[in-house]
Amino acid sequence: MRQPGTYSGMLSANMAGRVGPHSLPLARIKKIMKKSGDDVKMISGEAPIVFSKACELFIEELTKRSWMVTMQGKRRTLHKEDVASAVVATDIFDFLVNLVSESTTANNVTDVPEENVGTL
Amino acid sequence: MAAEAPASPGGGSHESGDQSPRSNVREQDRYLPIANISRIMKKALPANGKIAKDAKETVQECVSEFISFITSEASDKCQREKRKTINGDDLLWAMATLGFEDYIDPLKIYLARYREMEGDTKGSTKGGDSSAKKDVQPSPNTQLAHQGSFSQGVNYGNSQHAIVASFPTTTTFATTTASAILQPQPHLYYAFTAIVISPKSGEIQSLEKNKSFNGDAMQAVYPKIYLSQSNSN
Repeated sequence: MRQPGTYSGMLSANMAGRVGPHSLPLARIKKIMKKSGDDVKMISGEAPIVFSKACELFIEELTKRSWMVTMQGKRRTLHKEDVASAVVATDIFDFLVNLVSESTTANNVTDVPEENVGTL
Repeated sequence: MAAEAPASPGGGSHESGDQSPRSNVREQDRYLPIANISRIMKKALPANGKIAKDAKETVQECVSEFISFITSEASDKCQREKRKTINGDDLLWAMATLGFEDYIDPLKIYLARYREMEGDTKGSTKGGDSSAKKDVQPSPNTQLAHQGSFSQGVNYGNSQHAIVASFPTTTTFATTTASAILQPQPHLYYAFTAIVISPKSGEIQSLEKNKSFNGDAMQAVYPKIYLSQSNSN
């Protein structure tokens, strides 16, 4: 059971209540940052703020590029496959290729996911 | 098109234990909230565009991957330079290195605004006259709303560039109506903070602190100027 207190407790004092102006929660960003490596120990207060905006730009770009794929298929609903195609077509999204191809593969062969899922 | 794949193992790539919506406990740590992601995605689409749940989940995973990708690069840099704390500039550097140089300028502006807000709240709260300023938040929309509330009526819609300027109270201007724009006197000098706002998106394009201009130059550089309450002295 998760209480709100646990979550806000993760915020350092000067971050508390600062979630509002940013469109993404800073404490969560910080958690994800910490998970990226064992050597990530200390994170300046500004870093999650930079990410809150950077992720917004990233999501916008990924969405727009995916939408172009949707439009090419003359559809109106953006699907996971569109995101996958956009990732494959865009150089700077190379680091996502495994992630998207993996999940589409897993999706297409729901019966035998294990065999087709690459290692991450 | 491969229909909405009911109960597709959204987190299949990671932990495909059950077919139910991905377990919430784990979500809390690994991903940003899907509602926030969805909101940002919708903003990027035309009004008639729809987004399937699987697409949202994929983007959600991608965002976490993006954070890790950038953070790892920044962290390596810190290690090389024997620093312990990853700061905002490390992240900017990592993004530029990894091909996201387009993000740098908007981020710098965002950060500059954030620092200024922080500075204002910390520095001048004691002064007591910063109640209005305190509410200013580094988000484009609230920024406009708040600026508007203590500017002399601002109409951002019809100008190429809107300037919100802070002037010393002692300076006198011919501000007549709400949307009007101040006419700088040619031979006076003005110190102010200029915020250039894109009329379309409402995004702040640039921010120049402590500009000093005489009236003529100011008019040439900034076609329209809106006056906001002074906070400079």
